[in-house]
Amino acid sequence: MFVLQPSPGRIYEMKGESRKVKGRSTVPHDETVSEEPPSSPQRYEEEEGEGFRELSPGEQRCVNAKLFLMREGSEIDGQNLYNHLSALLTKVLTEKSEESLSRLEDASKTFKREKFTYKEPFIRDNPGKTPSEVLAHSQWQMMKTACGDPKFIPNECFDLPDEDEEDVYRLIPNLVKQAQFFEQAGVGLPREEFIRVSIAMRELVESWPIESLRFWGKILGTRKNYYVVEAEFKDGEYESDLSDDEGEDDKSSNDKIEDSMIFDDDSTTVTDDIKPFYKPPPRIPCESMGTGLNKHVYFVCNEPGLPWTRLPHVSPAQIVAARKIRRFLTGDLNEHIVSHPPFPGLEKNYLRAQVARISAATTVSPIGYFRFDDNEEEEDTEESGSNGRNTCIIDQEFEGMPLRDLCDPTGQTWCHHMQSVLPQGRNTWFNPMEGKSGEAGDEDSEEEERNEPDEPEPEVGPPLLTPVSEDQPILESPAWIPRISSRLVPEFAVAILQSNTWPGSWSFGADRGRYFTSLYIGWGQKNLGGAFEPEIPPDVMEEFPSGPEITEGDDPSPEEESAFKAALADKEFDAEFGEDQAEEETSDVDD
Amino acid sequence: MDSEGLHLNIDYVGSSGIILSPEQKAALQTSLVILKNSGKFHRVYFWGKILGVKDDYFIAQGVGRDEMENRKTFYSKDCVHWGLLPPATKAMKEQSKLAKGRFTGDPSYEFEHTEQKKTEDGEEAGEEETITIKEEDRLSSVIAEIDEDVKIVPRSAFIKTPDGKVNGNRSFEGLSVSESAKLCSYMHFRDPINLEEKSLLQKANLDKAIDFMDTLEEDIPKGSWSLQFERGSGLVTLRSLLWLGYVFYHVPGSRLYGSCYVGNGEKNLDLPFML
Repeated sequence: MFVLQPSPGRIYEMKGESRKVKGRSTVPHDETVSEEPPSSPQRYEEEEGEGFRELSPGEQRCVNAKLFLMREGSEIDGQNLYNHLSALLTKVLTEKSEESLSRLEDASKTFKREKFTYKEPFIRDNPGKTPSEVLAHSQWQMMKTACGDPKFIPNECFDLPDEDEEDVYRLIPNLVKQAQFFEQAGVGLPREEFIRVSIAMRELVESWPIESLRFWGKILGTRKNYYVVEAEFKDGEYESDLSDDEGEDDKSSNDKIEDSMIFDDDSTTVTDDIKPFYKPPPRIPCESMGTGLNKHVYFVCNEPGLPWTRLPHVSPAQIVAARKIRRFLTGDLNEHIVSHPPFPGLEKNYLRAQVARISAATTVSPIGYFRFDDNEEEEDTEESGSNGRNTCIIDQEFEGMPLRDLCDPTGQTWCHHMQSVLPQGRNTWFNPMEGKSGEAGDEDSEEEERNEPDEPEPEVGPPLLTPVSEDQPILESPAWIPRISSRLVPEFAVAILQSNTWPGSWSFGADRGRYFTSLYIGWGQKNLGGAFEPEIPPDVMEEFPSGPEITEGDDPSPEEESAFKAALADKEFDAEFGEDQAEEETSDVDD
Repeated sequence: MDSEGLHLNIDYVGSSGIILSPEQKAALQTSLVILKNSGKFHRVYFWGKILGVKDDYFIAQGVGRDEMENRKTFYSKDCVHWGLLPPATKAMKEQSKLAKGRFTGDPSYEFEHTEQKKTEDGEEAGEEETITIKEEDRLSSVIAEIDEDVKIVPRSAFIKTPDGKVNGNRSFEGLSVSESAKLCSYMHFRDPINLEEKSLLQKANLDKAIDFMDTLEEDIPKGSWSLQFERGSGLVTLRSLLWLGYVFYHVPGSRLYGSCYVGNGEKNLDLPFML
């Protein structure tokens, strides 16, 4: 135990206070009380004056004591014993109270509590970004770039005739107005979502050569959802990303051919008679770029604010396969689709196929808004084949029709303005025989007249601009359900058209039919009317063809086998018995 | 969802495509209050909408203190006049499964279902039996079936008192974000089916006052619920894939939750193919 001892040669004096202590020249020692402060200035003066000198042993002990007290305690951060004692002593001396000794511990505890300093650790916790933050950040970025100078008013407000050609933002549709009409009808998405999509569309017009843009809708998925935007590119801007799909298809068909060639190679155990009969159906190519089903390009994103992804072009094989399967979308574009029949592609292809089917079946407009272009030349009409015209233009003289007509329950006042999809998977008929012989397309009509027996029948879809009342009903309900949006204020209502074939597709018509658009919000599934019937796998191929040398027969059933055995036994028995009888007879004769 | 904050709560299900027009909101706000008073209900819930061909049905449910019993269902075509639906009996439910096609919008419409009764020898010359199903009955059965199959609440939102009554839990603070991401934190609001069959070992960890209902994890087929976070993690939405159109929402960390059904009233029987 280290004890402070007064050195004989020195008198320790508290500054100015020693007179209070009576009868002693030295203050009695208490280990908790420090007596260093008065002596230190003395020592400093000495050292300054004389420079560094050797400390005497007493002084050495003194310095050691002080350093010990100044060492930081481990429990009290930022606190050392020295400071604590000096503070305590200062308090005692300034208060000059009689109760100092009894209250000493309390005072010490108070000091400890109050003097508690928390030293911040140098490494701070980083809780990481919550998903809300990540999403909000990306949406905020989007809104930040969109937020322009408030003093700037775009030309559109004043309807000035000279539209700035470079202002691509005018292509963005007026989603706010659409949102209002949809809300009036009680369908659609909340208005904030429309605004977000509208801002997100700016990114699209900035980076792609778009001619027109439309918010197609929202497809719900099991894990994430898709916001889909439909766009039309300017003429000549359609790049072909079919090349990737074509390469893949070729590879897969090569694999099939290789599989079938196995039989040819390992011909030791297998005769030549068992080549598979299966011939894959002829591959039907897409329509040319920018026409037919690939006229529109679709962009999707999971949330507005996240980057847009362009959906690949759709091929007829994918449409045909998409008709046969029934699947929910998961929300991940690169997810595999495991189904029967196998779907040629990933989820993004399936999504594109469903979007194409829905668009072709549910883009409608009031009758009279679109009309056929009478200025089309004769050759064009022939070339488009038996499907009739496949383009239509806006009728500038459309006067509109009253609301009552638009809400006509039979649906005669609305018509499709997008071509329907043929069973083949295209908008226009492609003759697979034609492709082989390499004939040009404008001899189509002649071939149809010939109609050779090995040529498939051309498929014809309903012509463009047919009223929706001609659509096939589902069971007993009609395919389209027009209605008025409001009961309480019918004077200012809009007409709302609901699709029964694709539940979730809504179209509204306002302003006497001059302002209309469609929207899809749903799971992307067709209303089948009854249960879904999956395709049955094809018959198993017979191993050996039946012929005179080899015939396949059924194994005998157990009853037949036992009957045969019994008959055989009987025969043997008869034979034996016959011999015995013969013996007996001879023996009889002998006897 | 609760009718009291309807105009605010309907925003939570908006991202699934469920919105009400301003005029419907206005009409519902007034008529549901009147319904609550006239029926002496403790709470009135806006159950949802069933879409029909000529008209849609708006459905509301009134409950007493004990929320599992004595639920009365009302329907309306214009959100102003409400009519009481007859409670669904087992026979009604069986029959309404035979009615095909969409609801027409006329409550007195009768669906006809013809069945050929074959005699035991297998002769085809049987009698034709035509069963008529009233649309009202079908509506009531569909609503009862949806409630039975997919109505869910967060765990510990309801408490079973020792005398068997089910009351709302006043100290329910909401699920945390991590809890709301798990299907086992949601329970079917109906008499339990799977709970009885659990072993004693499994039951040991359950709290009798809170865990008296089946959780969503035991639903067959697996994956028949789509759990998604909207607004980052600010809102959790559960959509049923068995009854397309049923949406349940919950704001993690708060007491807000509710559910709504807007759809055709047709069960998705193709679900196993679609997953």
